[in-house]
Amino acid sequence: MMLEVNNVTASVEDTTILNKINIKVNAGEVHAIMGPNGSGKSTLSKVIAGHPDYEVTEGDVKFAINGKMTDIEELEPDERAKEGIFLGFQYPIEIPGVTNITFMHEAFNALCEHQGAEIMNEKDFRDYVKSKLPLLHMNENFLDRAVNEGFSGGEKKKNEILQMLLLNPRLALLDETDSGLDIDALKTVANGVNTLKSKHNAIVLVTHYQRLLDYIKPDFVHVLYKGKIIKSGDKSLALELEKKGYDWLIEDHK
Amino acid sequence: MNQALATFKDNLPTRKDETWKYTNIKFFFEDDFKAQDIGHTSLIENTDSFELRINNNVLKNLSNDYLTVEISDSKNEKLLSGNIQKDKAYNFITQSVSKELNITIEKDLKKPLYIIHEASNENNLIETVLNISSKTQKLEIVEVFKSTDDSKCIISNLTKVSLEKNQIINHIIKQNLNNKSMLLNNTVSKVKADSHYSNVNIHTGSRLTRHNVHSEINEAGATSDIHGLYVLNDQAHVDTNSFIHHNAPHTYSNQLYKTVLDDSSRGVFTGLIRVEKDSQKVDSKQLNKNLLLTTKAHANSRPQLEIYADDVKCAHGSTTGQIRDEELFYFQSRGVNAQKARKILAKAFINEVIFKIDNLDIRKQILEDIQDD
Repeated sequence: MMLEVNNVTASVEDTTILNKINIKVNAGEVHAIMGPNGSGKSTLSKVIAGHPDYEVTEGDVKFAINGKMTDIEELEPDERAKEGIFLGFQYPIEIPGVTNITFMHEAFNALCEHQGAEIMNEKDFRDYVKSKLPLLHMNENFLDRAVNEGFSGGEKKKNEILQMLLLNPRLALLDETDSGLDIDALKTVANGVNTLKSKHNAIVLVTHYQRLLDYIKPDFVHVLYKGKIIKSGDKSLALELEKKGYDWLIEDHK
Repeated sequence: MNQALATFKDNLPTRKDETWKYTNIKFFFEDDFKAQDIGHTSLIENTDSFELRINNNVLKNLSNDYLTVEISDSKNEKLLSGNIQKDKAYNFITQSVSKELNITIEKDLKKPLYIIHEASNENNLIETVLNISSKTQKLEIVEVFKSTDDSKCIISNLTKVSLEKNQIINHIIKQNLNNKSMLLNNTVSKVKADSHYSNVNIHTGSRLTRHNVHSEINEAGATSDIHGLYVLNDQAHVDTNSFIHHNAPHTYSNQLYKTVLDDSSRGVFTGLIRVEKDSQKVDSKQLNKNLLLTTKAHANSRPQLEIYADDVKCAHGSTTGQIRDEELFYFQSRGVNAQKARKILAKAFINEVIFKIDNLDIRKQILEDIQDD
C-alpha cells in the first residue's frame, strides 16, 4: 500500500468539498479521478499534497513512509513533497524574478538533503535537466526564463511534467494536466508521465475528459460527484463516460 | 555647538512639513551631537579600485595621477528649483559647513572610485559636502556610508555630481550604518546634453535615514536613472524624497524603488517628477514596489507628477504587498520549506534593482553584503 485516503471529509472556509472519501493506491497503479466541474476532484489532490487552504475535518490520509503507513496530517507540504508526493498544478504559478532552473535546482537539492545524498552543483544539475528536455520537446532557454512567466498553457504543463521527472516522486498527483492542451502537447505530456510509470511509482490523474486516458492507461477509474465517489471501475468506465456523459451516473445523486 | 546645528534643532522638520509626513527625527536630538576633529582623509589606489576615505571632519588636499581632491570655501550654490531646496535637512548641511571638497577626475580611472564615509565615536556629527566632476567620458563611483564602531552618530552629507556633455556617470550609494545612527544624505545631480547619470542607492542599515535625491536634467538627450533598494529590519526607517526635474525637451528619467521590510521597519518614498512647459517629448517612469515581510512593517508611497508640457510620456505607480501564499505553496509542493522560499522570493524581488548596476563585480559584492546583513 502506498496511499490510503480513509473516510476523508475536507472543507475550505467552512464549505465542505469532500465528503467521506475512500481511496487506496498501491505502487505500480494508475488511478484516474473523473467527474463534472466542481465535484471536488482538484480538492482531493490538494488535500493529499497539504494545501493550507483545505482542512480535513474527518478521516485521515496515510502515506507509506519508510515502509510504514503514516498519517501525514501534521506534515508540511514541503515535508510531504520530500517524502515523495508530487502535485502537478492545474494552474502553475508564475514566479517573476526566479529562473526556472533555480526553482528546480532548489527543489532538487532540498530532496537530496532530505535523503542524505550530496547536493548537486549548478553545472551538473543543468546537464541533468538538459537530458530530460528532448522528451518533452522543450528548449534549453526555458530554463533561464522566470518560472512559468510568459509560458503558454502547454508550456506550463510540460514544465510541471519536467519537474516531476526531475524529482522522480513515488506518488504523482496530476491535477487536470491535460486541460488546455492541443493533441501534440497532450501526447508529449502523456509520454512524459508514462516515462515515470514503474512498479515503484503510483500516478493519480485528475481529469475531466477521457482523452488523456487514451495515452495513459488507468488501472482504476473513480467518478467523483458532490464530494463523493459515486462509482469506481476499470478503464471501461472512462470509455462509458465518454459515450454517455456523466448524467446517467449522477441522476441518483442529485 | 555650531550655529547651523542649533538652528536645525530649534526648527526640526515635523510631520507638518509636507515631505516629512512619515518621518520623525526629534527623538534623535535628545543627545548632543558635535563635530569631532578626529580621523583623516586619505586617497589610495588598490588593484581594482581607488579609495577616497573621508573621515570625520578632517579635510585635506589630495591628488594622484588620475584625480584631485581640493578644499574650497562653500559656494552655497542654489538649486534650480524644487522642494529639496527648501528641505530642512538640505539647508542644514549647506549652512553648516564652510569648506567643501571638490573631486575632479583628470584621467580615466578604469576602475571604480570608492568614496567612503565612516562614522565612529559617540555622538559624533560628521558633515561633508562633495562636488564631483570628471574630464573623462565614463566614471564609476561607489559612495559608502558605514559605521566602524557601535556608537550613535549622525552623518550629514551633500554630494553633488555634475555631468558634462556626453558623459556617463554611474553612482552607487551603499548605506549600512549601525542601528543607532542617522544619515541625512543629499544627492544632487545636474545632467547635460546626451549624458547619462545612473544612480543606484542601497540602504540596508541605520536607525534612520533621510535621503533627498535631486536631479536636474537640463539639456536634450540627457538621462537620469535613479533606483533605490531598501532591505531593512528591526526598527530601521528609511525615507527618500526624490525630485526629478525635466528642464529640456527630449530628456529621460527612470526610477525604480523597491523595499523589503522585515520586523518593524519602515520605508517611505516620496517622488515628484516635474516636466516644464517647453520640455516636450519627455519620457519619464517612476515605480515604487514594497514587500512587507511582517504585519508590523510599514511602507508609505507617494508618487507625484507635475506636468506642464503636453507631449510627454510619464508613468508612475506603486504597489505594496506580501509574499503570496500560492507562491509559497508552489515552492513547498516541490520540497522547499517556507522559510527558504521566502528568502528566495525576497532575493528575486531585489534582483530587479541590483541588475541595474552594470559593473558585475560591484553587483556581486553588493549581493554578498546584503546576504551577510
